[in-house]
Amino acid sequence: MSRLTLGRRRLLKQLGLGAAAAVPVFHAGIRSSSAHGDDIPKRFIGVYHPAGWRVVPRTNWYYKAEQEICDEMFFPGRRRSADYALADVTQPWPEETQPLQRVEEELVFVDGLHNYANRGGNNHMAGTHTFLSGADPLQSFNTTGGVSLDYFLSRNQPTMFAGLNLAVNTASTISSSGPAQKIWSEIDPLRAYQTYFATFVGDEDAQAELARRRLTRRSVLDHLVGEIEATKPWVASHDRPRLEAHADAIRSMELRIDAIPREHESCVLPTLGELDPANNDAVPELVDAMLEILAVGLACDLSRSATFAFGRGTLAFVPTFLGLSEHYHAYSHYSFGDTQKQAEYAQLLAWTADKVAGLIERLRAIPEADGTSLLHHSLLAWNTDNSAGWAHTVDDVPFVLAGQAGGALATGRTVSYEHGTKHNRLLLSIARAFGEDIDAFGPADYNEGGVLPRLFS
Amino acid sequence: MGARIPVRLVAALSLTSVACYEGVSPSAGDDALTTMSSGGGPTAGDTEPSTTAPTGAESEGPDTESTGPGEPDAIPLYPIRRLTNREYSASVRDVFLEPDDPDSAIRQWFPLPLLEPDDVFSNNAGGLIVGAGTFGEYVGAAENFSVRIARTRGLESFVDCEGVETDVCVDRFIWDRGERLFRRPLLDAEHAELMAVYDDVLESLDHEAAFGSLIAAMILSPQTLYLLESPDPSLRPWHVASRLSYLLWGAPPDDALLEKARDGSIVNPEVLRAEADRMIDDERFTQAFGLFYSELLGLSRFEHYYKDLSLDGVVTREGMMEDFRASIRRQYDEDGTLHTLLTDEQEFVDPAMVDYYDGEYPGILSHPVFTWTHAGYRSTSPVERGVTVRERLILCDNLPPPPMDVSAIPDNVDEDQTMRERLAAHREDPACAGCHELIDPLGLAFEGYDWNGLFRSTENGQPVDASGAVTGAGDEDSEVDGLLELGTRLAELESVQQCFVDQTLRFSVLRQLDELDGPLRSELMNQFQAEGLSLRALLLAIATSEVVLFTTEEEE
Repeated sequence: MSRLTLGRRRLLKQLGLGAAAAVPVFHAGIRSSSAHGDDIPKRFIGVYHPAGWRVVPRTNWYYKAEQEICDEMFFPGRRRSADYALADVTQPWPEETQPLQRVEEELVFVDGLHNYANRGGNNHMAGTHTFLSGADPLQSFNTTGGVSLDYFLSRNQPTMFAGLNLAVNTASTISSSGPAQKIWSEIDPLRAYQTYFATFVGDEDAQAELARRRLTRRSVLDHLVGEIEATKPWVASHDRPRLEAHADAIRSMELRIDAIPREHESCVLPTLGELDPANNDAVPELVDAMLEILAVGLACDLSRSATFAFGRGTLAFVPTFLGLSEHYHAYSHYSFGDTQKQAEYAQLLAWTADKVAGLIERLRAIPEADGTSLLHHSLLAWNTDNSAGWAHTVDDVPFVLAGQAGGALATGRTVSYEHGTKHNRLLLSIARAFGEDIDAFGPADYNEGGVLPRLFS
Repeated sequence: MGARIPVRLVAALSLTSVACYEGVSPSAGDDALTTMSSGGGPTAGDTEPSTTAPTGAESEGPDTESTGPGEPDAIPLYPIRRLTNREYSASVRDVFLEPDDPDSAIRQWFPLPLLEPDDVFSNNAGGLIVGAGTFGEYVGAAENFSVRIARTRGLESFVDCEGVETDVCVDRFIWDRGERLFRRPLLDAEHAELMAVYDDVLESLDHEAAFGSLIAAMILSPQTLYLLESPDPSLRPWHVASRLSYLLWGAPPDDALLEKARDGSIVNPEVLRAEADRMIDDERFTQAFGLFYSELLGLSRFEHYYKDLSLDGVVTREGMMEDFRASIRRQYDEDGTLHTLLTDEQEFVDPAMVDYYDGEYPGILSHPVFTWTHAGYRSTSPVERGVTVRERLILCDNLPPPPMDVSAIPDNVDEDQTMRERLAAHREDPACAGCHELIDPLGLAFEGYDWNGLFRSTENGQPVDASGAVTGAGDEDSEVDGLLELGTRLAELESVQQCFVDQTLRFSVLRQLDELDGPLRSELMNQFQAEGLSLRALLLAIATSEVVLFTTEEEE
């Protein structure tokens, strides 16, 4: 089948944005080798929702009396100090995680981890970035202290983008390329579509324009590298690291100038309706559109890392589409004494879990060359910024993992760690499973004990 | 030639800190700057095995040990300053488009995300680093902009090309627009490098592509993106002009100011003061300092804060924010003081607001943008309002967060209770009262204004009780009833006056203040008080101080 034929078939499936039918031009650029039949690359997906779970840490003295209630929350059949198979759980799953049951064989629940980097105050906002960086916030709680795992894993991948960073309603910052270098996610599906799929859409003129841009971009970036060098004498020595970060950013972009998407049966552009990113009531449709863009983006190998955020710390939508009337963050602050609000909160969390389960299914539906799926070659990590959001606790923060990371992760189980185990070790374990030869992720002393036992093989 | 750093004098001044209970409190003063010094994240192609985040102990930051009173030390006054997205957009717009250009709705041309600040102020230099995400946005915006300019405007829209070859015209363009973008005359080497970009692309493509690439290269240059101090001291007047225009306008110098840089007169304090005075009267000041007050009062999330749908079509956020800025503008037009800022009746100019917001609104804290932002979805929030006043106007620092085992929202015991009644535990429970006595009495004075900022005289059928108190602010405690009394009392307090000076200074030096700023803080406070707390006088004092007039020293 010729390339042109493949192109037309793709277009028939794409209803698109009313653009005239066009043939995408495949550039004779550098093809990222791994995605094209050699070793299948691993992908990392970070998913974040704001403000916490309905869980109480094991040692929270205030709620000893309510321990039983708490044990019914979040973890299916929670056994606090044992590993167990999810298939062995006979109790009904708690409401807020029940939607994940339909993909239970793909999941690992991780119990006992401490988001230690987030132990300071104001840890809703700080937790948006400590989740994937494991680094203490700088200066004020909004400033990330280090590179995030998703960016770290994709930093040298010669794909078109370092990451696909998406969110709904409120831009978020769970990804960063270094200390104080947040990467803001996109909340407008149309803009995300235009950015990521620029090489697929548009007529011959638009494609020719893109070719020109590659050329001019290379000249401009070459020039800028020289300019940064020339600027150093103007900058005090303690400020030079900022120029280094700037230079790194230029180099990262140069790496990607010649990258192209891969041809793949699942690289089919999504259909987008009319969506207003500022419309609070349209959040479910916006989420669906963004997760589809994310899945297709990975299928087209535009990037090997992606993140999705349902909000940012204390800022998110009001779930009017569920008939609820409080902000996401406000819900996390109602105590167990307010049973009405707690029931509504569980409903909101269940809606979130349902979306995550949908994403997992979507990634599972993308086939890979070895007969497995993109999900099989991925690691999805879902977390938030607190365990008990209403009390701002950060110990015993549950993590939900999905995907087998190319076979490195046995799934369908819960793994329990000793109370106080820092989550940096999880980030480190993931990085090592992805082939990174490092001893620590984030501050060295937060990684004491090294890779987590019994998790990856 | 060594790098030059802006210096200031060392002196000791202790700042009091507050703790209303033993808890973890945020550390003010850590700076991305110093913690980055020992190397941040991994670089592309780097095989560095560990991604340890640097700790303060490893920093290569300047030694801040005092060497004794009166002995100057080379301590940086400013961190390196990258323009904020807002300032960057303004800079590009001002250089390539005329103010009356129909296309000067630059937001479509150079759309950079305008995001919430990390710290109190979005211009805090610690957070303004060009990382991969930021750089990607800049390149995208610069490319789109430059392609569009190259396509729709010729060189002749910018420079005189009459009777000369294209390459001569390009040459002129680089000198002319380069000076405006870099805010100083270009060096020969810089000119040559930019010419090389044009020539390079011309060879593979055409003039339009080459012209576009040249514009993109100029826009993306670090000399555009950062305010840098040249190793050559003769360029100082140009730097002084830039510091002044970014302080007061968040935008590049205009022609009049550039002339005073060119002839060197701007470094004369009287000329500088006259320019600052002129610039405060300009619309660009309204935008820039509207932002200062908006960020000071924590109003950044106003734009996105989802509220009661019943107000859709009644008032607009744009209209309300414009109105807020107009209120600030009036203060500077009418010789406003800290007292008038906090007590003047708000005269709404937005027609929708005039219709909807009935009642009396004394002081900027009663402006609906404030009371709307610091409230719940359908309830007031004395805690948020009180925290904002305490942290931003009295304490000039963060309060410790609530302890870890307390729910932030009281259980809905009785729907008919007033908010004051629902917060009774804050007053009655000793575990709460320690902190909350610093918060609630301030916030309860706002109870006359609902969650949309509308004046109300009843709540759940009961008459509104807006009695509160100003306590723990240095002077004697006093009771207040409503916002006129609150505003009046606040403006009288020395701690509030000093805090206002400090916040303005913090905004001006792009970082949190520290002990080394002691003398400057005192000096500005003296001038502020001597001028009857005049808002304009404070800015003129800052504009003619070392903040703008600092000299640089060669690093050792």
